[in-house]
Amino acid sequence: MGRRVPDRFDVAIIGSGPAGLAAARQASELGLNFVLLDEQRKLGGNVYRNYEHNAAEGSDLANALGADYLAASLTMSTEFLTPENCISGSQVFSIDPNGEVAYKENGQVSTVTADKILIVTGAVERPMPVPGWTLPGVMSVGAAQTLLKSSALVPKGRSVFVGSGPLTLLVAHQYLKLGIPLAAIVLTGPLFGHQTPARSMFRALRFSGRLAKGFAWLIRLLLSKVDVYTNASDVEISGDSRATQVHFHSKSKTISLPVDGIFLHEGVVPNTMLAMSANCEHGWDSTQKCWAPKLDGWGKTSVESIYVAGDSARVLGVHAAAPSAQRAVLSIAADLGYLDQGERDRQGAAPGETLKQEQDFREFLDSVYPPPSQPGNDIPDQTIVCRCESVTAGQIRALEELDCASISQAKAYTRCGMGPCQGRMCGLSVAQIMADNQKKRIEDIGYFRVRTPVRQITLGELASFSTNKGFSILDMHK
Amino acid sequence: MRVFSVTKLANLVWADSMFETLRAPKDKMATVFIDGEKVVVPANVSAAAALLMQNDSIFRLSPVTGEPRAPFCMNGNCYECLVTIDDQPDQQGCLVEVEDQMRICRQIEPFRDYQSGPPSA
Repeated sequence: MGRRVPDRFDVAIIGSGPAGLAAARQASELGLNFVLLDEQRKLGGNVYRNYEHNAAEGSDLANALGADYLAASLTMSTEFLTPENCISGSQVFSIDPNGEVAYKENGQVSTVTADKILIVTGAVERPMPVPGWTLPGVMSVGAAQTLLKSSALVPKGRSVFVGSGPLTLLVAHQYLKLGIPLAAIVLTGPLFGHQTPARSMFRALRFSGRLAKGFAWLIRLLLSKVDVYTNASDVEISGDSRATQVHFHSKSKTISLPVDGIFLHEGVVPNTMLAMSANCEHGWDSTQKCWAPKLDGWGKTSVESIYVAGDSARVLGVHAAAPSAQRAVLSIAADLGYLDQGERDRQGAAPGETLKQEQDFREFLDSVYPPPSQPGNDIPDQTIVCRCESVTAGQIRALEELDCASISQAKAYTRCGMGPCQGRMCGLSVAQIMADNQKKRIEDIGYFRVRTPVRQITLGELASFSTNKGFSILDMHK
Repeated sequence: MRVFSVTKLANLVWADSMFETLRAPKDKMATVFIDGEKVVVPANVSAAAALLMQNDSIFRLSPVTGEPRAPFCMNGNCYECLVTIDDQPDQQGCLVEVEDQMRICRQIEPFRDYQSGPPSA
């Protein structure tokens, strides 16, 4: 197996983004015996992807990624990590309430066991199904930023961003700084975002630096040669074997633009795959329009041994990641007897206060860039919703006549959510289409039943797995 | 359901890559084989990124409709970047870093429409 790791840990931290690294640091300071796992070979998650390379460069790229990115040197200093407690480049495909974490690494399956599991797997982009979004040449804005950070790749030719949210503006700003000419930005909302209640505006004023930064991005965008369209709707992408045009309505005009690359974005939602697979209770977040694990004030789920923190608990952004993770680790330490309850509360107070302020700021952001209001009805019939199985919105709507009321039935009837992505790209859209079409609450439609393994493994990889405990990972859903 | 016809396969070639690299030529490079062809790419990029740098960067055909597909999320979620790496099919190209001498193959075998029933004898 190559790597020798101890058999049992106090806590297994899954994910090494800003939340995971803060959790590991906190665990190390409290003397907990922890293990950190991440899918990527390099730590830092999406936010600090390829940090060491990019920050060291002192190049145009480092400059474009911005001061906040470069200032992460403390987050990224990982003197508390060793080859024994850091397993990077490994995909976790199973967790169970007994604390067993199964992962694959270089074609081998291994497990670690911990008393507690902390899920800090961050956020994923909300799927934005529009006609033609499966054509090559259509990617997400997140993909554009990943390519920039991890591979220093930038689009050439006529590129168009379509959607809304801070990330769209941030990446556009980074491209502008690099001199990469976007052809157009097509915003699905107003230029300066939606009107926000005075109360949340007032609370956001505490973060005047961030507001000024966002404002500066927009001004710079308006002063650039990039065409900016606002309040766009009915987005459609056309092309034969790749995207060549994007069409939309803006200000009661129909506009078509020739394109070489299109990047879509409608905000991010918590990555709930692991927590759902372990049967942690989830609820519908009606503000952020997504599923989120039900947690006590410290990140503990309905399953005693499993905690969730950072954006995978609720999307609050990078600044909330560390305080949220610190509180979860304090609570874990208290559960395990490293701290008493009073000490947990004392040490958790300051991060709790930071978290509250970040929640206020997020309330402001959520009102400026709200998720689509009627996302289901807005998706035309011919749109492929489930990319893996090529199931269209029309096929999902037609299920109403078959008295198909639950999302699990929809899956059985159409195969939506049964492909390799396991519903990651369609779970929200399918439920929203069904809810809007059948005039039901999305809570009554539900989400796909997420099952282990949450990542594809081959029979060969499974066969490589042997422990003296037997195949316990195969028994967990009996 | 729209099924992409096999005859369109000939048109699958992209005119040009959608991306270019900012890396300086002095950067460390790796030699990989894409569909058997020797290509030099910057070291430490993902297999998917290496493929996206090529002029013909369709990754696979949808096993359901035969339509061409390419990566969407680059983040391990969409599974549109599935490629064959060192003879192991269906690898997530966005999560694998290139290594020297790595063999990356696109999954574009001619599409067979299994849903219309078994092939006639």
